Formats: sequence, C-alpha cells, structure tokens
Amino acid sequence: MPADKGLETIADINRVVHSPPRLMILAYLAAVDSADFIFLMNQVGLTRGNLSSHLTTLDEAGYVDIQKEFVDKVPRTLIRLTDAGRNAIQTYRGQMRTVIDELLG
Amino acid sequence: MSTTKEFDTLKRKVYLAYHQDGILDLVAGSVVLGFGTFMLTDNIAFLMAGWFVMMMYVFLKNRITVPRFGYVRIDSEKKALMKSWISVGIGVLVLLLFFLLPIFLRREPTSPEMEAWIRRYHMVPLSTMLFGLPALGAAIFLGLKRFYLYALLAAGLPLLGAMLNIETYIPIVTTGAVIIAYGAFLLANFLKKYPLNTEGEDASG
Repeated sequence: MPADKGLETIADINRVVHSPPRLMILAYLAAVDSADFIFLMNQVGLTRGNLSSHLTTLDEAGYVDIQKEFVDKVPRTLIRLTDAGRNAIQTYRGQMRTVIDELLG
Repeated sequence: MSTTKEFDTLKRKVYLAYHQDGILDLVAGSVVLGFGTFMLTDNIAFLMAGWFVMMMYVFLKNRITVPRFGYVRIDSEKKALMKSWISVGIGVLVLLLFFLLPIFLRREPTSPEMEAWIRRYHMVPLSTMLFGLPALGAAIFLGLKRFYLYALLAAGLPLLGAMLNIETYIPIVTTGAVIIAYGAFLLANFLKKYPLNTEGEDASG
C-alpha cells in the first residue's frame, strides 16, 4: 500500500536534519558559499547558546565545517556546508516529498 | 562550493538583505553629489571627495554591515558585479558612438543652432553615461530595484532641467541628494533592525 511506503520513509528520516532549527541552518548554508556565526544567529533567530549547540550537533554529524579565525583582532566563526551535509539535505528533501505524496497526496 | 538551484530563492533573499544597508546608495549618491557640486563651484576637491567615499565602500561594509548582519559569502555576487561593469562599459561606448563622436567628427564648423542645442542638452548623455548606466547595471545585474529609479533620475532630471532651461548642476545635485537621502533612510532602518553584535567567546567550536 502507498501509505506503508510513506510510513517507512518517515522512519528513515534523518533526525539530525529534521529538527527545524538545524534544517534552517542547513538551508541557509546550502544557499550561500559560507557564513559566520552572527549571520546564522540573525537569520535563524536562535540565541547564541542554542545556535552553538545545534552547530555542534551538525559538526559531529559531519554536515558542517567550522573554522575559527580572527579578522582585525575580532573572532569570527566561519561555517560552511560539507558535501555530506549537502547530500543529507537533498536526501531529506526527497524523503519529505515522498512522505507528503504518499500520505497526503 | 557551488549552491544548488533549489536554494536560489533563499540565496536571493540573503543577497538582497545584505544590500539593504543603504551603503551602496550612500557612496553612489556621494559620487553624483560630488560631481554636481564640482560643476557649481569648479572646485575639484568636491569631485575627489565623492570618489573618495566610493573607495571607502568595502571599508564601510566591513565596519557597519558585517558586525551587525554577519559575514556571508555568496558565490554568484562577483559574477553579477562583473556583468554589471561589462554592461556599463558597453553602454558607455554605445552612447559615445551615437551621441558624442558624430559631433566631434564633424568637418564643417558647427552651426550656432547646433552649438546652442549641445550647450543646452550636453548634460543629458553625460549624466546618463556617468550615473544612469552604472545605476541601470546595478539594477539589472545586482537585482537592486531602487537603482532603476536612480537611473531614471540620472537621465530624466538633466533632460527636464534642459527643457526648463535651469542651471545644469541643479539636476545632478538633486539626483545625488535624493540617492543619499534614501541611502540614509535605509541605513537607519538597517541599524535599527540589526544592532551591533560581536561573537564573544561562546560561539560554536
């Protein structure tokens, strides 16, 4: 039955990507070449601590590459999406499309 | 790393928000106002002051925009800028060919009527070339719609001024002042929306 396939897909959904704040972070990073901590904080609307925590999760999953640097003696945390992160978000898009088509379509 | 097409809408949103700080308007307006003031006073310092502000663009972006909005690199931005400058160059050449070269290449002396016409309307192609085309390039290739209005002002006000027979510097000064005023309005909104933000020590590692 089509609904079964949709349910199976839900079970396979990557929970690292599925979290709304992390999905927003990944989407912004997929749209740009690289961005810093302040940019993500402004766009995603998270507090400093929350963003830091979500970035650590994404970093541990290998989805983002985090580089610390100093620009004019000011610290800058530069973040970019890795190939694994790009694949993860594309896979997630496909899975969500399947779920919506199979269960709600 | 190239971005996928699916995220173009988000990229566009980020790009437009990054240029919503009014700094490009302020520097562009300063160049126009500097030129207009130079025409009024014959003092080249005003012309140079306008260009000096233009050269401060990257410095102002780094000092005002990046600490508030954050640093973001968009890979298509440089390509858009390159296209913009190429189109401006082509536009200037086309205008030169169609408006100015025929005048300079005339062998017979220019008639008094022609001279009067040139004196009256010379600012129209000049302002269009110097300010209208770069503004049009920014509007088309950077996607900044307000620059269509600036392009229209740069070409239209000198034409209106010539038709009304008013001093040639007045439309240029007015164009510069309008661009600066709108840039200041955008900057004020930007500063309000994005207060100063530094990373501190607890940024992610």
